Amino acid sequence: MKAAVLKDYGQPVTIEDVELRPPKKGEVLVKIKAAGICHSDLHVVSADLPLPVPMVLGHEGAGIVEDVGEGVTRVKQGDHVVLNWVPECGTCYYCNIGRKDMCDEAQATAQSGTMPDGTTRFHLNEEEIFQFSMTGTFSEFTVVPENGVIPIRKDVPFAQAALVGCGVLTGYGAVVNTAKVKPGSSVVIIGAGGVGLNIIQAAQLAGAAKIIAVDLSPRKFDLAMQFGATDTIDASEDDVIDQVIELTGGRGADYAFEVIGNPNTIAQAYNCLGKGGTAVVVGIAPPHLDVSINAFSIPAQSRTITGSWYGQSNPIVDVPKILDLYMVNKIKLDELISKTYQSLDGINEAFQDIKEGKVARSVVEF
Amino acid sequence: MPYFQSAEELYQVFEGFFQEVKDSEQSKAIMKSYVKSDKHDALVQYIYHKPEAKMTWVPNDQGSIDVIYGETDLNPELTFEMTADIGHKFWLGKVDLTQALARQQMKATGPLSKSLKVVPQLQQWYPLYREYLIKTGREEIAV
Ligand SMILES: NC(=O)c1ccc[n+]([C@@H]2O[C@H](COP(=O)([O-])OP(=O)(O)OC[C@H]3O[C@@H](n4cnc5c(N)ncnc54)[C@H](O)[C@@H]3O)[C@@H](O)[C@H]2O)c1
Ligand SMILES: [Zn+2]
Ligand SMILES: [Zn+2]
Repeated sequence: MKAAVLKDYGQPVTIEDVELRPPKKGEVLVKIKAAGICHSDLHVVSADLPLPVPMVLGHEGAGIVEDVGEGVTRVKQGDHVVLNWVPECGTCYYCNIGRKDMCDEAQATAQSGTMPDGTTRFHLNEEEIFQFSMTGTFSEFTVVPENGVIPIRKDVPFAQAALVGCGVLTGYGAVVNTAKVKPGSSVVIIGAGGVGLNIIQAAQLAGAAKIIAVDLSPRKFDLAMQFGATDTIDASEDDVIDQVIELTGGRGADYAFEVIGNPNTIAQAYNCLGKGGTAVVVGIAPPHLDVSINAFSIPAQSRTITGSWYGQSNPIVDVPKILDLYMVNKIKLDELISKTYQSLDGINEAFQDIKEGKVARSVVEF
Repeated sequence: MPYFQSAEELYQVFEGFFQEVKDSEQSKAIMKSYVKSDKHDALVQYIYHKPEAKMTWVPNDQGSIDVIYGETDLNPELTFEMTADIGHKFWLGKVDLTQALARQQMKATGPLSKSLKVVPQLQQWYPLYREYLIKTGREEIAV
């Protein structure tokens, strides 16, 4: 069975014939039908997102349930599913207060690269191969925890459904669950990539009046407008803060989203805000970096800076909801797919395209 | 596009402007409000980016200011760092200082007590800067 494995940081992924052990109790074997390529996968390659290697990358995927382990009730063979890269434990403090996105167990297990029981399902020549956040979608099959599968309607194509597993849910949730964007408000999105475009469309859905997309790559602006942006700022040419202030009648924005993972643009998101505004950091910066913001402005202008992990979502509810919105043309998914590959070989090229800001999303179809 | 394409262009404008205002009542008032520090040999340094430029104000014996354009070893008591565009807007009176600091469009170092005395005095120069730009044929950036 083929899987794309990152053997060491900074290396291309290689396609390996790996062994996948059967699902244990409470686990599900999924035949992957489509996998999206997210910038977070690339962060693992560059070691900016500290996860162990060798690893099967990929965390955005959809497929068909092939088999279930003992005790699994959520799905049965043949069900279509989207994978959930924060499979909650259901019993920790954060799960109990309704913050599945912050589940202690899910975060700890993701960091270890294993399944919740501490072992790996993927092996290569008897060596353990880790999997990205209990998913590992760059593979023909994968084994995931029961809470890592979200059953979905069967009339959505797999490629479109796959994107909901990370980019769409993350962007939609940052707007709806974290910022709770109000109708008529002004919103800035710094980084109009695979996730940022979904923030743009969710902001439009939430009724934002001004949606300002900021990017370095002008080829993102047409897409941004198509997804609902009202204005664009080319950060390689223009002073972003000045432009935002001008576009918001001198006040600054009500909400700003950072969707890159860079301390400078995180500060920029905060600095774009008007009084009482909220900056939401979605981009993942390497763990050793700090951000500096003006201290006086925090109380004197009552600005908020917060973060959003996996859209602060409840995937079992939010994923089907987003797919329903897609089926009634309120959420765009087709337009997110810039390139499709019919084999895992395309992943290294897809990484290069992300680096160059060329694509919204690339998808591997199986 | 930035207002100034090069440090030379920026220096040319500011040199002409300061030349005109340095002996004015306004600049004498600025110097009067400034209590010299023993540890520093310059009053304020403006550090500009895009284009990179530096202007340093040094008090002179006539109770007025000399300006050094470019790098210097002098040790200024106050520094204001910003893009040249924000600097230009500042001299036009179009930058709210509190806002600019809150948004990190401007970064200041040195004792705030001194800035608080010097900065309000600078306001008197704003109309003079605009007039100077118009007079020297740069009305396109005087708005
Ligand atoms: N918080 C979460 O749960 C979560 C989930 C998924 C992804 N992410 C993170 O979100 C970020 C974005 O992911 P993506 O897949 O959309 O990436 P992407 O590469 O598709 O998009 C990033 C965009 O930012 C633009 N950009 C880069 N530097 C810029 C700058 N200085 N100013 C303006 N624009 C700039 C790029 O041109 C690109 O369009 C990554 O850091 C990723 O790891 C976070
Ligand atoms: Zn992702
Ligand atoms: Zn939990």
